[in-house]
Amino acid sequence: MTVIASDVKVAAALRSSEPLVVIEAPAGCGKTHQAADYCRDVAPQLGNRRVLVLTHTHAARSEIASRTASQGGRVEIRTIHSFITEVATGYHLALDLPADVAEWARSNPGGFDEVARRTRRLLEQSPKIAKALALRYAVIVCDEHQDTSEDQNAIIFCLHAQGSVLRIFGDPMQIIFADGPDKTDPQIQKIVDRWTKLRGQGRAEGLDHPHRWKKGSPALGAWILKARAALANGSLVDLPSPLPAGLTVLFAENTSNVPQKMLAMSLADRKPVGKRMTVDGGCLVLGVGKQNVRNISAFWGHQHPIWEGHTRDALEELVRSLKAAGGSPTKVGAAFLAFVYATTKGFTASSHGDAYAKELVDGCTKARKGKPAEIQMLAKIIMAQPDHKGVSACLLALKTLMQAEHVAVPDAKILLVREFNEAMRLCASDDIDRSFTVISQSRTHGSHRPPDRSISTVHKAKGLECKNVMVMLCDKASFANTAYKRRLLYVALSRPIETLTLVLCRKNPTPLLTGPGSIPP
Amino acid sequence: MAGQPEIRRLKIERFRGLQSLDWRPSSGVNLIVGGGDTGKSTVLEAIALLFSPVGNVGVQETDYFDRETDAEFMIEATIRAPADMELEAKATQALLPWEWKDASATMPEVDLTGGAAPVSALETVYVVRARGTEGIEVIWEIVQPDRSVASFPPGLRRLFGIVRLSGDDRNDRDLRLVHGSALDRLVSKPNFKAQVSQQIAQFDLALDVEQTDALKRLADDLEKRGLPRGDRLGLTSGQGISIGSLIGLMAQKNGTSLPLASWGAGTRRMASLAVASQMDAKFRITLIDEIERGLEPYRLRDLADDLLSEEGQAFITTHSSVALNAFASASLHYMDTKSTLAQLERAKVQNHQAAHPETFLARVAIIGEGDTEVGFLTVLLEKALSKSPRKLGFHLSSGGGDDKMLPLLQAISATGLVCAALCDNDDKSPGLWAAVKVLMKDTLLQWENGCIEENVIAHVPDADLWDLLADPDGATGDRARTIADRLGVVSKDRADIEAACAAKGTTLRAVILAAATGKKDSAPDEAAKKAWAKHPQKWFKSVDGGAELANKLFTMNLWPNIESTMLPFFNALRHLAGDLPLKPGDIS
Repeated sequence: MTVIASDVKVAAALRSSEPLVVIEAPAGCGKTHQAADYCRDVAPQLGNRRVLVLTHTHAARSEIASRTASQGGRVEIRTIHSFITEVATGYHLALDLPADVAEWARSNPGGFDEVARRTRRLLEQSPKIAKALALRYAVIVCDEHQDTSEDQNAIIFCLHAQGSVLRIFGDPMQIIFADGPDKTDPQIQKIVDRWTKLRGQGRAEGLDHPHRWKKGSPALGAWILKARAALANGSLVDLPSPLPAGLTVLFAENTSNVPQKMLAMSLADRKPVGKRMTVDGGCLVLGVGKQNVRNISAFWGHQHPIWEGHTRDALEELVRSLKAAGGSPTKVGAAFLAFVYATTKGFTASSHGDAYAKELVDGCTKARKGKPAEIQMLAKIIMAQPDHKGVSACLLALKTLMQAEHVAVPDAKILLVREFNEAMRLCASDDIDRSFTVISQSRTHGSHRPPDRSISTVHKAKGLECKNVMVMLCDKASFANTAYKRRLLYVALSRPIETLTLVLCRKNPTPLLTGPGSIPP
Repeated sequence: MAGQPEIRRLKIERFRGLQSLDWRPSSGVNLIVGGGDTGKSTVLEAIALLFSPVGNVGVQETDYFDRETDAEFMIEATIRAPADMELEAKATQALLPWEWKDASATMPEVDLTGGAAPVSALETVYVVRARGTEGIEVIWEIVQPDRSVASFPPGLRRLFGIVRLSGDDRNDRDLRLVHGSALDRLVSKPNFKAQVSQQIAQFDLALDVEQTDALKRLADDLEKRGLPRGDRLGLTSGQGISIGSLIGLMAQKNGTSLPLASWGAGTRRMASLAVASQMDAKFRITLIDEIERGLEPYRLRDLADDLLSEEGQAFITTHSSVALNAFASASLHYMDTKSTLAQLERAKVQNHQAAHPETFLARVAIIGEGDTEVGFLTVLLEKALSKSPRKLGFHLSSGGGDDKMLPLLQAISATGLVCAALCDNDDKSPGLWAAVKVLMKDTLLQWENGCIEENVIAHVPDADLWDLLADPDGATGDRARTIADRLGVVSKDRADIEAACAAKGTTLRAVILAAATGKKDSAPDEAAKKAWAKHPQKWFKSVDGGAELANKLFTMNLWPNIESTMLPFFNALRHLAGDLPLKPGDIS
């Protein structure tokens, strides 16, 4: 077995007596392995004290948990949200929050951020409370530090100031935040600067060996690390000729008249792209943004599921809108429609939604036949019960129509199946917040792996590793030359273990790629 | 310094005879006194249960107040846990501390605005409790600031290192391998008792032929009846008795090995403490019920010295004045008949505790300002009460002078210790005296003006004044001398003294009062000042003097003059004794 110098240095740094160790960890370089090994080694040396591992996602939590299971309670692995929420719950009266802080955070926009802000105030003003936590957690391992907010970071350092040793893993090239509007260069730079400063405060090391590709394609792994360096330092990603084993470049043009809303290709372009989906072990297709993912899904005739990950934007929006609707049938109806548009296809404003909304305005009084009668039937459900329970019932009725391939909904299909089903469970409790909490909690324990053949946004693929990955389309709109899009490209490139296919455009190529491989034949 | 765990506040609801108790113990040794059946021992038992090192504590319906098991009992302590106790690390879930403010566990105050905010310097504490449920079982919990609970398992409770000597006769528990006893905690390892059982089971009982035959006949019969064939004798566990309880510490006495449990009570208790002190426990909370039990004063004082020199908190009940004296530097807490437990402020009672410990063990503590008042009251109480004060549990002591009286009464009247007092009025701190009077009501008799001598002598008719000079033996010399000195005359003859009074423009009454109270302002020089200050000793400033003064009330028929002032005081005491009030003229 070859000994990798950087691995050895990182392992030694983690086990050193330094109170603060900062590890720069590119994707696929054995970060989880290093972290889990360290936890296993250090836990037995802490006497009664413990290791606290803070992750950002439940997927990462489960991953590390499975690798440190032998340590029992000595290693506690939590998402940073749940850790902060637990502290905030204990002091909810002091923080002016209701007893169920998690529910409050989920059901209010920016709720978790506000909980973190208030908890930070608590721990900064009452350092002895932070001390009590530091007495429990001798070591805190912070995963994906780049995703840590200012307040979350300050909370971790409150414990550090009271004696918890800190081991921080992060990658400034994976600052892509959650789904949402693109981030500006200064916004990205601020977090990069924070990382640089952090490295200066303690002992800093970096991982640089592409372990993830050892069994798949080592050449691909090496190329991805080179690409990362290029994207980090402002230069371009080289596609050499020949391409490294495992990397394929295809060219395709979106021939649609409405390229934002639809993806279409010539038969010649389409064939090789389509073929990639049939490879052994399946393929995860990555697109930038929700609309692109929808377009890609349509491109394959909605045969392949969309990977929904752990977040549910449309459902969260639905809950917020319903709470604001105040029992108004038209407002509840509007919330219902927005949710259905986001999670299904074939049920649009022009095909159904406008008629549905009008029924609610008219009070469902006019006599209807055929398709309008079905739409009225759906509207009547909301009319009778203009709240979350009515919405659940209406979603169930709509789903039943779709499953029966009813003539009223000829081409309709649910695209975000899990999100749609979760919304149908909103009726479980009289209290919508309670229902939403139960739904969110049950999701925590669900599957964290996408199906073999599926489609995902780059954001939702962050943290995943898949055998084969195809990124499409690598055009200027998806991957412009900004600090943010450079990182988005890096996250996309670093997902595959064996093969990566980039679908490039001839007409509007991304400015981030160069080299002979990027030139259309 | 490591520091020791400390109970800052103890709340008990509906546990045994205690309906409700809310008490703030002190650091170090807490000495608890109070009448019988007030619940002192129950407080100790509550603490022992709260920190019980074992899980299977048998509670009974008698552990519930009024035997009413429908309502839960609760024992809740606010505790300070030193960092090296590692309570935070050992707990099954993260413990969230409270802040200790205004002698209570409180929620931190957080400034939620964005600006700079002060950093809290308050200490942090945890709240732990044991609840007796309606199902007659005990649940131990740590109460988080949001009132949710974390478990408080035996492993955590054991950290507090409870060492307990109970007052009952089963106090050899810690000298046996009873589950959770000091000896058990000292020597037991996992499976230790199972090993012991196994070894004993293998013991050869050396049955003779006859016995073996009898067993065989039984076995054959059992088999014939289709029952399991039992054909040998072995160890079987009994109900209510464990193998551990049969194994105890042995010692050599006159060449024979004897269980320590068979020694006298005092030795057993001291040995139990010795076993506990050997335990490898860094932290300790000591509970000793009736510390004096079986111990001679010298052993009791040794034990007190040991406990006072230790760092940990201790809770000790006693009915012994030797213990009170030996623990004069401990905090003293009084449990009254309403089961209210309150501290007697240490600085204010410490001296009195050492000098007159029985004060704090009496049913009613009667405190005279000085020896004069003690002598005075001794005579009058015999007349005013139907039984002798001692038989009533009334204890009379001297408060030790005017400066000490007010603080002492302040401290005592803040607790439930029933107290009566006779005091001078120097017109100092009238507001503070008034506050004490509100609490003590008629049991406090403070002269409207001046001291006891002034209040009595004022009523002596001019013609009888010279009679005051005669001491109980009839001699007038000593007292006449003090008068003559003050008047600057050599002769102590009545005529010369009266002439000198006239010449100086004063009265005999004034000079007697000055001498009896030791006035020295007009003394000609320092030497005279010193001498004049000692004049009261020739008069009434002693227990005998006070008694003499009291007797003079009747021989000189002065009593009617002060009866109206004193009768409410004596009637208050009669009330405490269960006697009906006296009317004017009843005392003669």
